[in-house]
Amino acid sequence: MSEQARGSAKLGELSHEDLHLAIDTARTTYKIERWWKYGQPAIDRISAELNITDPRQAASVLGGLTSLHSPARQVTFDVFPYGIPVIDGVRVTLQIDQIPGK
Amino acid sequence: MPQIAGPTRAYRVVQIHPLLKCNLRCLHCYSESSPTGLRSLDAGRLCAALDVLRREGFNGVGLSGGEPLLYADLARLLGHVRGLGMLATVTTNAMLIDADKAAMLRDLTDLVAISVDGSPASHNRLRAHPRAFELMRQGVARLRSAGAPFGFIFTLTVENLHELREVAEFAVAEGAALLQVHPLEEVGRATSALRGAAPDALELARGFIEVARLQQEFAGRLVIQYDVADLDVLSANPERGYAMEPCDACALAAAGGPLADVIAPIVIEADGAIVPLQYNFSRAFQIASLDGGRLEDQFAVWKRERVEPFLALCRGVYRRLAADAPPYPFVNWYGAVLNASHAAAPPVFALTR
Repeated sequence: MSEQARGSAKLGELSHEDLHLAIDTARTTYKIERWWKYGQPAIDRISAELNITDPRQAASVLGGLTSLHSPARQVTFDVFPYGIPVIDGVRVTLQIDQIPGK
Repeated sequence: MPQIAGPTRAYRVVQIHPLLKCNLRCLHCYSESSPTGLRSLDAGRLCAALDVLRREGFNGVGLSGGEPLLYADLARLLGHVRGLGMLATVTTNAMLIDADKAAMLRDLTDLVAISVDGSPASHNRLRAHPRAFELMRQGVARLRSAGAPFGFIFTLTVENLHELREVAEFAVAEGAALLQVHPLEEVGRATSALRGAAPDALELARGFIEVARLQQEFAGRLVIQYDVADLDVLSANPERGYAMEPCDACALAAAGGPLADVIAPIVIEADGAIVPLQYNFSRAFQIASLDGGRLEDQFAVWKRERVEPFLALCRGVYRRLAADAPPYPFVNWYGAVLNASHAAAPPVFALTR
């Protein structure tokens, strides 16, 4: 394989030294503590933003999210209707925390 | 009672491949699933096995395949998982999700993991289907309408890191909870269809930089998970790669503690074999078989006789990685152990059975 074919080459060149420097810098904000299998997401903490473009669907979607709440799983979300003067969408920021030991 | 934390901490997963039938024939499929894949497992046997595995300390089930949405008893199986109080995920190409399946997945799973392999053109090429991306996106819309949490899985190859940002943007736009970045392993169909495409040390290192950068850029909107072991972290915590010295683990196993305290994740393959860590792990390290009699008895044999050979395999991988002094401190640990399992001489226990 040619070096130009690398995905990283299309992001710009980095010397060996610069790459090590970049790794050290990145590690200050991002650390890999665990590693997982394909299709095995680390689902102990999930955050998401849902954009419901049909406000009529909002109630059923929020009902579904509420049903996810359980003793083992804390579901919190904030709802932001948007559109003036008529609401034409609802944005939901969602967080799911699995409660360890449950 | 001590436990081995393993790579996934308290989340102890049983990954199940209930069938090898799939609507696609992906170039990178590690299980070589296809529309002609016939092998499948009876749901009743799987439910009975899960009853035992729950008692053995496992608390999560990941359903894969084949395409799990082609499994006729998927809802029954997921309902059983839910009844046992285990977390459930389903890995799918999302092309077969209609409104009914979306509602079922919302009600019975904790997260639906959907494969996305880059730009629409790249995705369709790897999926060997001209409309794979379009149909996947329709399935995602149905999940979103139903209110089912979902995440995306991006398979990193040596040639596609530059597409990761596009996938992250797509994930945010679609309302995904998570983006899992997983390095390609040259197993299954990829050994022939994608030879030489697994990311090397340089690409894994550049991947780390890119994931860290994207995680900052999308902070608060998307969690990005990079399935690569940091050798410095592994060095400080060898138990996360099962590379610790044997004493505690063997004592634990010999004392008859739960199987999940000794090994997780485990995989139930479509022929009923239960193996450590990865699909297609060498059968020399097989834990049990659904056809092999009482699972409790088979687990007891594995805990008594086979933990140390498995740990020795992992220690060997770790020591080779350290001795090789790779140019960058990242490795596809699951892939390395899987490959080593096939290269290893048969463990001594194989001679004593």
